[in-house]
Amino acid sequence: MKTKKVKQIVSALLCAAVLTNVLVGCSGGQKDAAPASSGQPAAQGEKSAGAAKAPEGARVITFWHCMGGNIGEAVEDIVNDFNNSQSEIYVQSDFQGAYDDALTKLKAAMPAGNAPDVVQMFELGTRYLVDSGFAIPAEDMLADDPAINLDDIEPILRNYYTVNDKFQCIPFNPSTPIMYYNKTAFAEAGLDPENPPTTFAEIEEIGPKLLKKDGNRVIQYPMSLFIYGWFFENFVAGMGELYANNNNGRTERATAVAYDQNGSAKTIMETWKHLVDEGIIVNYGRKSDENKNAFMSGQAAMTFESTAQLTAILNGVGDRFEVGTAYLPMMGGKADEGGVIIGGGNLWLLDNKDEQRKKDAWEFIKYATSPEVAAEFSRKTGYFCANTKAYETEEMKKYLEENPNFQTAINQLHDAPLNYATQGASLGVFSEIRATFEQNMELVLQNGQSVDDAIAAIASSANDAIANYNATVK
Amino acid sequence: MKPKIKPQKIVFFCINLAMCMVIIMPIVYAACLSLMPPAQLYDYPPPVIPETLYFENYTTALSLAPIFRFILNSFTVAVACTAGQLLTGALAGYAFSMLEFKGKQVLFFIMLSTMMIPGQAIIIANYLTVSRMGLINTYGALILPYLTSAFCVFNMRQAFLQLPVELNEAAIMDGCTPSQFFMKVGLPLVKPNLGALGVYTFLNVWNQYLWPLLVTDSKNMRTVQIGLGMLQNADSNAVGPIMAGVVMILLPSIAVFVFGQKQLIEGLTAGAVKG
Repeated sequence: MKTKKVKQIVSALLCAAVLTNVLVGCSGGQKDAAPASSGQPAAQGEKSAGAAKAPEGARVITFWHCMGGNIGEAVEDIVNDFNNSQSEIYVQSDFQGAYDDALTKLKAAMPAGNAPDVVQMFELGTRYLVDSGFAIPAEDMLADDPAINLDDIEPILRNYYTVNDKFQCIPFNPSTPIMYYNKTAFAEAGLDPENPPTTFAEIEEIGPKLLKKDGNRVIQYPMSLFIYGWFFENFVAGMGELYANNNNGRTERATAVAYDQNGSAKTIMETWKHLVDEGIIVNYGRKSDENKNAFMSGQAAMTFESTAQLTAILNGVGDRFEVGTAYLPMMGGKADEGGVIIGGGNLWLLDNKDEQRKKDAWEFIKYATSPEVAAEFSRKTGYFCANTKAYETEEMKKYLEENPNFQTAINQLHDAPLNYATQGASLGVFSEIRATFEQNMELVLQNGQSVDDAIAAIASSANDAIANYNATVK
Repeated sequence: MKPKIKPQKIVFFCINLAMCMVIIMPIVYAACLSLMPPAQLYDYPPPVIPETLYFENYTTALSLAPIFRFILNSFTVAVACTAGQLLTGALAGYAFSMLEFKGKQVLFFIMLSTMMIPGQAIIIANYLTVSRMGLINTYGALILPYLTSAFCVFNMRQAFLQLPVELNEAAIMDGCTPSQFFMKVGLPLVKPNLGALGVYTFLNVWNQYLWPLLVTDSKNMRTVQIGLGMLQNADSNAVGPIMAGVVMILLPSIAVFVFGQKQLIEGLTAGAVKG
């Protein structure tokens, strides 16, 4: 009798355990395999030395970056060139996973005293790093060592990364979204390949001409798009509207999102849904790769992507058709006050309470973002240069002449007006807010959730997250 | 005379084959993609068979990340963790099922309750502990927290509980000590469970991502899943080299499964209380 009862309890417990795992698995959604259970450390593990192969006598500093693939190689090239250019400082560079993974790791490593000296972090990590107290503002370093003239930094970047009235980090691989379009398909449809649409209204107008069908099967959609919070942020800015209150959190800490109040979210989500319903945009959910592949294989005549994709897209398309790039189309509103906002990564100097390391790390940051190095990195990757001096180098001038597609992003950036809207929101919990938008947008496009319900859900969840975060930094 | 093949058997075989094709297709497709030149990858409709065998994806993948070093690391860690979990699991499972001692039930439930704590909730705390022990960037950090698992103990306990009570009684009558019974009688009989658990644990550890990313810094200590991450990029992806990496890191785990399966079948066919 006793054993029966025990069995019942055991099975109840097991059910609960399995359920928790399932729930956690769903909400996690990432590819991480969670530790199966907690265990007690029992024995000494084998020690293994790090991979440092620094020359004798060189001072080692650590640098964490988030670039894999061919761009990761370009970053390693910069590090190797720096290490070979002098013998006093040796930069130990390590790939730390995607930006979000690296940020998670940083959050754990900083309090434990394992933080690197330099870290590459994307725009969404800005507010967190400023609030963490571990980051040394770049402007403080520039006060003693005016190696970089802040007036040379692209104004829109300078604007974005100025938090608490200080320029915080040195932009390393900035990017903006642009439109990629299939010039060959435009010509075939009788459209002017040199005059791509600039607004969503124009996309809707020319859309039907770009639709190609074989019987009932679509062989070319006018446009493909995937659900990405960054696009949403750009559409809001493109309308000249604010994303968060207190002037995007720039005049005072933001306490709530603003896009639900100023109507920008409603316009954007309704337009987006309308074009998907009309069959003009084929929706790829949250799958950026599949979206890109659809464009590269010619199944969609237009798409939006980061400028950093340019090299990959040109290579992927090959000579299948001619690729054009254009400004990101906007959704009306106060268009003259709107523009794109910046994305991409920056180099942050972290405080390891060691003056010498701080100086050495600063030397590396200066090198990695210097005009010549930045220009070469830009040519290899498609990111643009934060330092306008880079465009004055001969190689870069020649390169831009030969590859006008690279010029699009630069022009788009220069054409964006400087105001609170294009400065972008400064929020400590941006990743979470972006994820909430993406989940709800998906429900709107695929499951028929109403736009108003979705906006209410996004705003209340975002405002809760902001309130929680603000409570921790007070 | 030829043995007659029953028609049911042929039908059964065909269904098996079809299921097998469905399950194996993604892996075969990954292998095909890994051998395609970049220009062919984006053709429409998507091609299945590579035009030519293009091995450059493999050399690119190997130049972007030291995959073999990662495989070695993952293999070391996964073997150590599997061995540790099987050892602690079998011993504890035996104690919880066959031995009588004070507080047995309470201890068992405390242990079971750890299964209800989601891994992500304690990962930062674990990181801080390991960091204080000075184990960051060592095999120790990768292995120590996974030397035992409540699931493994629970599973082994159930396996021992399935053995007939008569077996234990007979052994005691013959003057067998608990440790002798464990080594000579119990362990051989639960071999199928050990095999299944071993494969399960190995694959779990092999597929870890977040923990190895947190506790290792240098390239030399990284494991395979992070290696795959090194082939990807947030802003631009090359499918060919990624697939080449996937195929390379798949092979060892498939090998383990094939080997583990053989053990498993052997264990199953070994009789227990024979007539």
